[in-house]
Formats: sequence, structure tokens, C-alpha cells
Amino acid sequence: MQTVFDYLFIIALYFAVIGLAFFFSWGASWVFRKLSARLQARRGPPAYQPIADIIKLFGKERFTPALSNKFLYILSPLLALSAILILSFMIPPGTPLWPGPLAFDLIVILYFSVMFSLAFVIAGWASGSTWGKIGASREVVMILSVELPLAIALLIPSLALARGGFSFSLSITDVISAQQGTFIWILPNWFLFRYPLAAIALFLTLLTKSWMRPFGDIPEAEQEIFAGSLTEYGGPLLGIFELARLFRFYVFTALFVDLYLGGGVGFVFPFDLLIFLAKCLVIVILMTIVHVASARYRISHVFKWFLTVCLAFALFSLIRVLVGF
Amino acid sequence: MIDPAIIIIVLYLAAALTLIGLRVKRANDVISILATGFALLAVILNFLLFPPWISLPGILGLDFTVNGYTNLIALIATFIGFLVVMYSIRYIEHRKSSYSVFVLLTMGSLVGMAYSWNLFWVFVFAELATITSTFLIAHHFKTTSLEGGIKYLIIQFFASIFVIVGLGLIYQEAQVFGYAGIGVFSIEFLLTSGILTGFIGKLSLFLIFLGFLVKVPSFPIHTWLPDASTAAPASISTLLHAMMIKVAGMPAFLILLLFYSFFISVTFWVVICSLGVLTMLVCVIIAFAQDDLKRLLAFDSVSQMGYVILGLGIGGLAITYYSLSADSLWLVVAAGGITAGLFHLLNHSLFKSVLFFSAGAIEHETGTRDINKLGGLLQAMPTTGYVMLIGSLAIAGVPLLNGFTSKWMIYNACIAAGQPAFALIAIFTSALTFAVFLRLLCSVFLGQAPGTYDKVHPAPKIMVVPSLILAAGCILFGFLPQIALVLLIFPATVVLLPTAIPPPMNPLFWVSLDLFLLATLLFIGLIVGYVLYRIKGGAQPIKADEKTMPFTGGALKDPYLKVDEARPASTVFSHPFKPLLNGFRRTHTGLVNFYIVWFVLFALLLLSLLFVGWI
Repeated sequence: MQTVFDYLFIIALYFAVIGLAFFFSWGASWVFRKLSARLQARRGPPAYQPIADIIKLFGKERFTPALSNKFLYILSPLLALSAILILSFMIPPGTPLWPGPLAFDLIVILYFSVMFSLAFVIAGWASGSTWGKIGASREVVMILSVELPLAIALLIPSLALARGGFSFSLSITDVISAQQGTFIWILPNWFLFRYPLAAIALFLTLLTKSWMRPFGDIPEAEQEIFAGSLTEYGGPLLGIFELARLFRFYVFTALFVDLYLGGGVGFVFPFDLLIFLAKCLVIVILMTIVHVASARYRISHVFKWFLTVCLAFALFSLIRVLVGF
Repeated sequence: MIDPAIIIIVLYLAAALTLIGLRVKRANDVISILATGFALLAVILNFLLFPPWISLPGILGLDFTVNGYTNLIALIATFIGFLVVMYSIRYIEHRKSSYSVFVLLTMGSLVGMAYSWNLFWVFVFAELATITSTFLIAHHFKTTSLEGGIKYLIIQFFASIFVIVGLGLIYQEAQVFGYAGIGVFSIEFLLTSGILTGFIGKLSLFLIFLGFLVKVPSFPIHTWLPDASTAAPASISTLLHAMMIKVAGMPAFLILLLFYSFFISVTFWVVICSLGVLTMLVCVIIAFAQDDLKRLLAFDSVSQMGYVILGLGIGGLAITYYSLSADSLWLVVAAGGITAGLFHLLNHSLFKSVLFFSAGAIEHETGTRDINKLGGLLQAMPTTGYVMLIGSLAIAGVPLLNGFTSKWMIYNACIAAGQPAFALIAIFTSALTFAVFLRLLCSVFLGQAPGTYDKVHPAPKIMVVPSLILAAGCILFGFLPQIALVLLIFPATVVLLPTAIPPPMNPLFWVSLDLFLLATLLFIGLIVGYVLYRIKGGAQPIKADEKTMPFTGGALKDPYLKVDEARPASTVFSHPFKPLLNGFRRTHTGLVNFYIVWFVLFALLLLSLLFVGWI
């Protein structure tokens, strides 16, 4: 049990981490847009553009569509924002020195990522639009497809620490600190090199979770269903949704970097943060290239792909962890 | 301390009284409420006042024991029973006069079963409860309900055969005959005297376990529960799901865990855990295909009992490791697994009652249970809708509701016991449960109402109040699970474990999961969002008019709305599972003979493992 002072400290830290996540996501979002524009031989937007888009939305009028359920229509963007803020707070910025009570385990992170998707499903159905419903049901199929490979790939690093038996830890900080040292020759001791197939599976699932092609933008495919779940949204509520979606550039890349790329381990305070952010940026650039280079698949392909190829990658690594080679 | 015999006698007497007052319906209601209220208060008093362990010198050789475990089970039975009686006042207004009689008799038998510490009396009370509840299931006396009731009765009696054979073997071992010999079946006596030895002892306990496993229910013999609960009125379905399967099913695991020295085998416990995992996965996939609201809930119930089996199985596995290695850290894992299983048992009776009460309210107001025909009910029945939303999210394991906490504890116990594969399948099942309940919520409460349900009224207050109480429990145990764990669950774990570990020493208990902090942060996030939403002054919310009708992308209004009818939620959500579902559909024929053949094959398989010596 914590004292009130501890709680106040944690809340202050919460806002600090959110600030960091916000500014990183802003930058990463600009890199994403600029880079994909350059890859498509366009000029691309200026650096203030991602945030200007959101601010513009907050200046618009508030309204609720006639066929919507008012309470859930307003609640779901707030829920999405709240869930992604907690997620960005629970994933430590590259350092294993994260205050004790905040070391929430990987299962909690997994469940909050589902909660984030839940907000979009409820939004689609509460808005009373057909496109919203189609988008929402696609979102559910995506959750189902991604969940099993994602769970396995998230847990593999911590299972590799424990190898069964009693002394186990699902804490993400233990995973970060276990990646110190070198693996073979000069290769660092990252889980990327120890379990490469699991890393690929996690990369694909996170790509999908952050609305990147080839799978990620199926629930909001513009040419087919307009904006999917968010078709009926506009004004400040859409702004909140866009703000929540902005944080994906931080949350999902940070998760990958912490689990498989060693976070910022091996450096002292200001540098470990910088190294961590640099690694995150590399992942963003990688994701952008995949996004631009690929076309959109059909929703049934997602189900097939993730529950065959991606699951096979994850299961192979899981068997390696359990058998211990 | 109140003698359980008094509670049972009061409930039976009340049943007799309602028999006298058959013609006066209100009198029956008053008597039922008073009797069940007394039973609930008595069990709560037992909780507050009980010394650690009391065996009562009973009347007629009735062997009641008041301890943490029996109290927990009796609390579930009386609490849900009280709410069921309250709910029935308005739910079945044109009921047969025998309704209250059988409800009270069933409740009395279940309380007797909960408190009995003697295998013979557990069996007798189980049979009494089975017979009386059959009349409740067949209450409407229509073809379907009679069919459901008879199926239920046949399968339950079939299970009893196993229990009787097991009890007979014990009787034969003890070589004591006559009525006085009933004392032989006392759990205390069996544990201390050592008359159960070797293979016959193991076989008898195993047969009793198999018999009670049917009542849990577990995977190959789960089919009676959906049939029975679809045939029964919703209040009786609640009684079946939230009381009956808990009280009548738990003796199976009580036997396994108390007599753990007969089952020191890693294979055996891995088989039990796999049974739990199979139960949860298969039944949740079948639940996808269901269009009947109550049938969907029933299959999901079986799936949730899979979590309970998994938690308790992990507890047994850890006890086995402890017996083999004498490393006391395994006891911590065992305490974690058993605590998690029991906590999920309690949680399941909370949220499943919410869901069945709401399903009953929907059927009461609209006259249908087909989720494809329902829609947009959130406007017409807001309280029921939001309560059902809470129940569904809790059962799906959304954080900060009680289902999440117990599932989290089960995953942790699995991983600590070195069985992460079980945890991963359980996580996947949780995602599937989430999709099943989103499908249910979306098609029943959200979307557009079909024209026929324009004039639906909210359910009567007395039908909503029980689910409100239970939903409040879901939220409370969600972010302050310590209350339930310390007050209710841990005393029960202490009974089931050979050596108990006090809560602060148990690392699986609440370390690293400060749910209160998470709730605070979530609330801060919501506030931040709301401030952002309201930040701009001046702009007024605009009124609903043509401008705020759904965006159609230029399509005409009528064809556009047709899209909705062409693709109802149920087909979209279950589409990916089509081939698998067709396979399952072929095996669920509805023939009771077929189901019994399954069970015989399953029992033969397990028994052959026992004879070969793998278990």
C-alpha cells in the first residue's frame, strides 16, 4: 500500500511520461507523413502539421448524431484516450529503473491494448452508422486474429528469463535489465537476436495494431467504408480520437524496443533515454516503409495470416523457450 | 454461530408453508423472501462469528462443518438464491403455485450440500437438489421445457451411478454396515483413519470425482447445461448457473485437493488442467454460433467453469510438485492457483447472474430471445443495458472489473507452475469471450431498433435491483479485490490446502497489481479527455435533425439502411469460425443417448489411464 505522497508522485510522473510520449509521437508522426510522402514522390507536410490537424478539430462545433447512443458516443473517445495514456505510462522509457509499484506486468499491458481497441468497437456501434458497424466488426476480427500471436510474442522474453519453475517475472523492467551484455561476439544480448522469429511476429502484430498496412488499416479502409468506426465522428470528439491515435507511434514502438531491442540498457540517465528514443524512431521508419510499400489485404486474409504464419513463428519460439535451446 | 441444520430446516419449513398457502400468491412471495433472507443473514453471521473450524454433532448423523470453504459456498448459494427469489416476484407472475415450493426446497438442499462434510450426505443433498430443480426447469410444462428437464434428470442420474459405486467401494473397504456406518463417509474420518488405501481408495475417490465433474460441468459432458437453461425460466437459469453448478460441482475438486496424497502424479494434474483448457476453448467457440441469448450465455458459462478447473488444477499440480520436492515455495503457487480458481468461481456467479437476470428482463419485455431479432434496446431499457454492459465487460476480462483480476491470478499461477501454454490458451479464450459478448451487446443493445420494439418498456424495478446489486459487486471487486480475497476467498483456500500460507507472504496475491492506482489513472485520463471535449466555450451542441442523420456517402436512405439487415452482427462476428462451427454443430445432436456415450467413452479413457498406472 502506498501513502498519499506516493500517489501524488506517481501522478506527477504520469504527466511527465505523457508529455514525453506526446512530443515523441508528434515528431514520429511527422516523420511518418514526410517519409511516406517522399517515398511517393510528394513534398509532404511541415513539422507542425500533425498537431495543427488535431487543434483544428477542437475548434469545431460539438454534435451528436441522431441515431447514436449519446452516452457511449461521448464515452468511447475518452476511454480510448485514457487507455492509451495508461499504456504509454506503463511501458517504461527504456530504463529498468522504473518505480516499483508501476512495474505492471505484460498481461496488464496486453489487456489495456485490448481496451484501447474496445473503444473503437463501441464507437462504431454507438454512432449508429452502417459504416461504423462494419468497421467495428472488422476491428473485432482483427483483435481475435492478433491476440494469440501477440500474447505469445509478448510473454516470450519473460518466459525466457524464468524457464518455468518458481522464480518467474512478468515485469517488463526485468526483461529490459536482462538484455545487458553481449550475445555472440559483438552482437548485443537483445531478444531480437535470441528469438528472431518471435520478434518478427511481434513486429507484424504491432504494425497491425498501429493502423499500418498491409493489415492495419482494414477497419478504416477509406475506399470501402469511409472511416470505419469513426465515420460519424467530428469536432472535438474526433480530435480526441486522433490524439489517442497519435500516441500509437510511441506506445507500440516503445513496447517493441523494450522487449526485443534492449530499451536503453547500458547507458546512464540522459543517454539511455536518447538511445531508446532513437531506436523507437528506427522502428517508426521501418514501419513507414512497410506501410508505403504494401497494399491492403482483405479481412479474411488477416485471420488466415495471423493464425497460420505469424502464429507458427510465435509457437516455434515458444517451443524453443519451453524446451530450452 | 448458527447451526446449518437450522437454516435448512427453516428453508424446508418455509417450503411446507408455501404449500399450505398455495392459493395466495403474495403470501408465498413474502414467505420465500423471509426464509431466504433469514438464510442469507445466518450465513453472513457464520462468516462474522465462526471460529476456524467447527464440526457439529448433528441430528441423524448429519455431519455439518462450518469452515471458510463451506461458508463461501453457502454464501454464494444463499446470496444468489435471495436475489433469485426477489427477481421471481415480477418475472413469473403467472407461475404455477409449486414454483416457490421447489425454489425453497432446492435452496435448502444446496445449503445442506454446501455445509455437509460427509460424502454420503453431500450425495443425498445433491440428489434432492437435482430432483427439485428438475421440476423448476420443466416449470412451463411445454414440450421443450419437459424435454430439457428430462434430459437434465437422465444425465444427472447417470452421473450419480459413478458416485454410488465410489461410495460403495468405500463402504466395502471400511467393513462397517448399517445406518451407523454413515460416519465412515465423514471427510474428517476418511482423512485421519487411513481406511482408504492403495488402488481401491484411489479408484473410489476417482469415481466420485467423475460423478461430480458432470455437475461442474466439464468438456465432454457439458451439453446438459445449455439444454436445461434454455428450457427453464430465466430466474431458474440463474439458479442453475450461479448456484447449482458451483455448489454441486465443487465437491469434485474438494475431494481431489483434500485427498491429494492419492493423486501425486504430474500426469494426472496436467490432464485435469488440459480438461479445463479444452472446456474453456471449445465452449467459447460454440458460443459464437448461438443466436439464442440464453444458450449463448450457457455455453459461455461452461467456458468460464473451465477457468475454475484450470485454477484449481494448477493448485493441485503445485501441491504435487511440493510433495515430490518438499520445496515450500510450491505451496505458494498452490495457494495462488486455488485462490484464483475460487475467486473466479465467486466472480462468475456475480456476473453470470447479472447477465441472466438481464436476459430474463429482455425476454419479459420483448417476448423473444433471438439476438438477430433484437436491436437498439439501450434506448428503451437503459438500466438493463448498462448493467448488462458491465456484466459483459467483466466476463470478458476488461481491466478494473472483477473478471480481469481473477483471470490475471490464474495466468500468473499457470506461469509460476511452469505451464505457460495453459496461460496463453486462457488469454486467447479471454479474447474470444470478449468477441462473443461484443457480438451480443452490439446486436441486442446498440444499432437501430427493428420497428416492432418501439414500445418496449423498461423492466420493473424489482427485476432490475438484483442485477444492480450484483453489478456493483463486479465493480467493487474489480478495483479492490483485496476485500473479497481476504474476507471470503482466503479462508476457503486455507481449508483446501494442507499447509496454508498467510496472505502477505503470498507473492501471487496482489503484489505488482495495484488496481486502485490503475483506476485512479484511468479516471484521470477520462477527466483529461472530458476537459478537452468541453474546452471550447460558445459552441452549442446542435439538435438532432436531417444534418445529423448518418453519413451515407451519397447513397439513398432506404437502400442504405438495408445494408444493416443484410449483414447482422451475428454473421459478421462468427464468419471466420464457420468451418470449425459446422464441425461442432454435427457433434451436438441434442440426443441424450449420444451425450451419454460421450461421457462413457471419456470415463473409460480416464479409467484406463488409472489402470495403466499413468495417473
